[in-house]
Amino acid sequence: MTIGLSLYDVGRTFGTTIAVQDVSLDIQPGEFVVLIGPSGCGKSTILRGLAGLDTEFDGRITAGGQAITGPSRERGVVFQEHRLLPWYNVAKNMMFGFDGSQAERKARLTEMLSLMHLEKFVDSYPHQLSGGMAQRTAIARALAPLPDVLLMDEPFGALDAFTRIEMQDALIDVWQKQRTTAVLVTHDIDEAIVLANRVVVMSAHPGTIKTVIDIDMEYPRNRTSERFSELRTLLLEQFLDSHHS
Amino acid sequence: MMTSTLTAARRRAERRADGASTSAPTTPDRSRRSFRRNAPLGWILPVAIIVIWYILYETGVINPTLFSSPVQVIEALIESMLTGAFWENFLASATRWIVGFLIGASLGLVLGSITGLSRLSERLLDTTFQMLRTVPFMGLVPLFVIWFGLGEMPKIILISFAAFFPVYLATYAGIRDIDRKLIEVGRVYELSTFRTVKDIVMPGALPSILQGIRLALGVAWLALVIAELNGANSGIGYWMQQGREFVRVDIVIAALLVFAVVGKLVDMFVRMLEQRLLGWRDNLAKEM
Ligand SMILES: Nc1ncnc2c1ncn2[C@@H]1O[C@H](COP(=O)(O)OP(=O)(O)OP(=O)(O)O)[C@@H](O)[C@H]1O
Ligand SMILES: [Mg+2]
Repeated sequence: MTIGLSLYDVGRTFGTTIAVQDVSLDIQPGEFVVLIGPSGCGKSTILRGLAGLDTEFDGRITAGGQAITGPSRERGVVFQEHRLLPWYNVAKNMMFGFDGSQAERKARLTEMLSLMHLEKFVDSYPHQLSGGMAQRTAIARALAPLPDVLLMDEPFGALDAFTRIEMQDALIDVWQKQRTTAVLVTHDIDEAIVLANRVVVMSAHPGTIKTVIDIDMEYPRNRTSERFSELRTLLLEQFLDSHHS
Repeated sequence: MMTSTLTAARRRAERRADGASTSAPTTPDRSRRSFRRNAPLGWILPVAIIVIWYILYETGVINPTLFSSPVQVIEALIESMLTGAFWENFLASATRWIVGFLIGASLGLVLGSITGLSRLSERLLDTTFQMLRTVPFMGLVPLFVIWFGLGEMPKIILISFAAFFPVYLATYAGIRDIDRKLIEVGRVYELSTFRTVKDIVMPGALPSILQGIRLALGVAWLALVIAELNGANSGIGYWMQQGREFVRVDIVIAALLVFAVVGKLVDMFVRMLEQRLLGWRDNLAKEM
């Protein structure tokens, strides 16, 4: 079952700083939305609200029409930092949120390890992994329980360009197969165009939505096509504009 | 210090680059380094002290009525071991120490967890413990003797009292210092309180708790000596007391030696335990 997400006039202040103001957004069930914008514009703050980790918002945030009052297993989260448990190895970290029989667990682990190319590191501990490997483990941890909604905060930030592209394609694959609703934060314009149905461009101080741009291309998207570069130019203009306004 | 930290960090980075699956071949350079790391450098000083002590005694520099030679000390030790008196006293001490430690450390673990996990209990209990902590436990000996006489009870209580605080404080601090970001991971997966404690809080607090336990074992050992020097009829401390009464310096020194050796062995045991339980940790200590 897929779930839609909604924000109605959402605001969040920390002391005297207004982190987010007047944000309204409807995310359809099964939609892929990318949030993009300068550092400090409130992307992580919004994602935490959708995750239910922060409930001190003004306005209303809903999932499947229900107000969000706390975290839920239906909404998987990939944090900006990997946040693996240092005392568990890759296998235990990946399956941390997975509920099921021993056999199901094993099957799902094998699947996740091969998706993330981490077969060799199944017994390694987080301190033995590179930043990118740790982040891939964290992504697998969020994907493993098949959540209805995936909330990802710069999940590919620590990866090299090649692995990044590979992971983007894998994510699209998983998203299409599982029909999850996905919200992803990034600083990378190409990544936004590759992944999103809609790109939400934000600006800072206070954090607000500047524009929302539909990406009218079929998946998988050709990174070298003409339409791709047109969208890149369009987004870049908006993005640069959001930095100065 | 700084440079060795840096090289250790670099070595780790290199190993990471190798990948955990490929084990690097043992080059001569590596084995030389491992020799340097494993050489028992820590024993040079104790051995040197004993040698100097022996020489000073044999050359008559130290007064033989105030200080015995290392040979006499070893002889006294072996003699009492052979008559069995040593083992009787040793067993009495070890029992007191272990029982007292277990009681104190368990209470410390339980109460430290409670105040660490619940704000209400912290506000209720922590002030009391912080006040009790500053009471020097040696000062409690006369009081315990008045209350409980000279039997086992006052000794066990004194040792438990001494062992309690290091474990209590370490558990409490360990739990309070848990990374809140990891607690959030537990919330995302809607973990029960039990699983949050088992999977996140306790493993996170374990390094601190083990450090507290190591400290507590040492302090309990100290409390044991004090308890046995103040009215006991068995134990290594009692044996030492007897040596003093009969002006047998060799026995006093032998008893001190036993205390030192056992203390060191226990410390080694806890360190080994730490390495086993905390293998997941990226600690430099392991590599130096
Ligand atoms: N817990 C907090 N306490 C105080 N201020 C906060 C807190 N969390 C966020 N803020 C503030 O809210 C604003 C938005 O922060 P947020 O982390 O959402 O930005 P972001 O868009 O994710 O930035 P980045 O791209 O650098 O990750 C910032 O000004 C930040 O200082
Ligand atoms: Mg952020």
